[in-house]
Amino acid sequence: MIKVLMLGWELPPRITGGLGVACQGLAEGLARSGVDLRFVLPRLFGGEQIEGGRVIAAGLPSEEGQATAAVSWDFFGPYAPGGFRSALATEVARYAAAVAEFAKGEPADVVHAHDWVTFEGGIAARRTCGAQLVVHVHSSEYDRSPVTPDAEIAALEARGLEAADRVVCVSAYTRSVLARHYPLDLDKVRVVHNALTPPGPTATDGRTTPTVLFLGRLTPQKAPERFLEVAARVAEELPEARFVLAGDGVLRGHLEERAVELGLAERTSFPGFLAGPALRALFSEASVLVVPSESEPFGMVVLEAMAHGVPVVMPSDCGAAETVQSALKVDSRDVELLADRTLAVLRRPALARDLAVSAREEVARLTWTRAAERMLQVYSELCG
Amino acid sequence: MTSIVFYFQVHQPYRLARREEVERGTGAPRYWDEKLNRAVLERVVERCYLPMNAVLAQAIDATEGRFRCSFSISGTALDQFEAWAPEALESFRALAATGAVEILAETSMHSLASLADLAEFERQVGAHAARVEELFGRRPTGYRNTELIIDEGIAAAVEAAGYEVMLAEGADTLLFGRSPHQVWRPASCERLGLLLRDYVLSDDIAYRFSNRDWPGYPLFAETFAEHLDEVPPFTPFIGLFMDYETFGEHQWADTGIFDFMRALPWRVLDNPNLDFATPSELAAAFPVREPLTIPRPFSWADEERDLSAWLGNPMQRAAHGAIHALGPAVRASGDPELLADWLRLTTSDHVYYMATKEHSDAEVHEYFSPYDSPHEAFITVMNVLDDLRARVDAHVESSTHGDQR
Repeated sequence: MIKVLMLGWELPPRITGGLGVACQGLAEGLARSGVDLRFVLPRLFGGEQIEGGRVIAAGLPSEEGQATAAVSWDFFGPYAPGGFRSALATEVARYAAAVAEFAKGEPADVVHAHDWVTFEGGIAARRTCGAQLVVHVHSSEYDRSPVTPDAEIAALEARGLEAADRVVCVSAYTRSVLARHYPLDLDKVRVVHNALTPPGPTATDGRTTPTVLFLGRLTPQKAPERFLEVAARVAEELPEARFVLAGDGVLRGHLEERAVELGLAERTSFPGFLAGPALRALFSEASVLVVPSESEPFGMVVLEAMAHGVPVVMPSDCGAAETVQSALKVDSRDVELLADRTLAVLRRPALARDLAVSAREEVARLTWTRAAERMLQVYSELCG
Repeated sequence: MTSIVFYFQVHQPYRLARREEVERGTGAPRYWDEKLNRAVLERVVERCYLPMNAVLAQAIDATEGRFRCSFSISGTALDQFEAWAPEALESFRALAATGAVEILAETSMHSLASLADLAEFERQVGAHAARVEELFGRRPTGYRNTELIIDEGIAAAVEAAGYEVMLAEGADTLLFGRSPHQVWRPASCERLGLLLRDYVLSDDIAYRFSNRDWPGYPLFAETFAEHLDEVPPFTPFIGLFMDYETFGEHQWADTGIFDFMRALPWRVLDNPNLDFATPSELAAAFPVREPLTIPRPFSWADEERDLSAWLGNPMQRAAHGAIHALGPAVRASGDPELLADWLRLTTSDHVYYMATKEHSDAEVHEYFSPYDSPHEAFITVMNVLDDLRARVDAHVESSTHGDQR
């Protein structure tokens, strides 16, 4: 039985994006396949679990590990704005030291680190227990901050990629981004696409008005401003349409102003970050999800929307586009084209219906069990 | 004596441009991807039509007309020959002039009008028959419908238009064990001869010829001629119906397909029990025909042999409906440009590209499709239809104002 020490920064229910969801899905898939798995988080907020595995708070006895609501997770979030601030730097260093200590007591065959925040921990743990190191890239600094990448974060990413025995990317797209920006040995890179834990039943169909959905952090990477430009084009043709930008981030204030400038204030809402039942309710109301991202290493929201039967318009070069067919794929820098495809879904029921039905069928096949099988192949390359 | 009835379908659609290109056009919108259409046509002319026509012409000449075959050439293919490859059209005319080649009628646009609008269907069939007569010197007496689509209503309309014989698929679910090798009469018709395709022998050439996993690979003319002789004595005919693009395009020259077809006429004629005939000749030789009930529409496409290749999903049905719903207004406008654009949209390929089937049929659909996905195909067609509808409305508006002045 392979022993895996998995390092991650967040797990549901307390998440800031797709990272925690993907980590949970993959870890549970591996546990189902018989992997002996421990998952180390920096802190616990309650409710984090891996079915078939163990979740541990790094270096803190369990009662202290239970962070209180007083700790603002946004502050420590893996993709928190403002680069590598001292609070996050301190947390990353503390986590790395604690993980190394933990690994000494419970050696593993493989240390598997998700995204740059845990790479230092991975390197340290590998040193103390002599395991093989897998680093898993869900998004790189060059996806998150294409214009002004943070030099320190990029340096940590580079160290992880260099030290790793295997680099796992969530898409071929991500691999190409890494290859462009880092001196990466491509022979040790493997692509393992994300999958989806089947969602509960979608709330009853609440589609009454044409509703166009944006779902993601309100940061430049996700291009929410472009979404508003698309919205303006759509509203010209379809005045009854409404627009929802679900998510939080640095651009929120700017976007609210921009919505007013574009004459969209009346029909645009900003409900903030949604998860669980609130998100399910939103999916049940949405006519179409538009993903205008500047760079999208995978795009878990694509799979989530598809699983709920929401048609998706997305970038043809995003990671999810490599694994799904039943969605409209476009050059996401082309606002006209995004608007045209969005309008097509809103206006043509035959198209919307086909996308909804075939998306559900397609996503049902993208199981974490399958992704875990791919992951196991990577482990066995290392452990023979 | 058993006659081998070869029928070759020649068709090229006008593929639509992507919307981005439409919008960049100045003046009247240009819906058609001229560059792509021309490139495909020129490629197929060079790889298939010219070399294969030469093979057939040689066979007819060397056998002194004992090798015989038939063609249907869609109006959109004829238009493209006239525009971009007149030498190909000349080459087909030369074949027809040998007297050993029958040219069948079809709808001018290789359309699905037979499934939407019988009046439009009759117009397209009439227009194409007149053009065939003008180009090839003989009024067609045989008919084949788009993709061999047939039901009893279509068969009756074809008979009413004066045709002697029609082609269809010898589907298992049509015949239930009865022979595809005798001349039938659709139950809805008084006399129309119905020739059915032997799909096994036809697809040995059209689909399996170059398939190394097929037990019959490699297929030699001699073996194939032996298979043709395996039918019982006094079998009237064997229908070998296929896309003409099989030769050199679907099956490349290096598969040996041309050598096969060069040899086949001789191997057939070596056998005193076999000869060749065209559909009208064959039908004339067998005037007594048993009725065949056609309980539902049939075609030669996909595993199902029904209409699902074109009308299998809601997008296809919505597009098909929308295309034909616009027909009367376009016809009423009397504007030749609007009519020309609309007619090209009636070509069946546009909805074929929207199929969402899985497995092996999906590969066939994808092979032919210029789109990345069936959804892109649907959106493109619907956008063009919106634009065309707006042009028709504008035309009506301006002519109404003209009357008032």
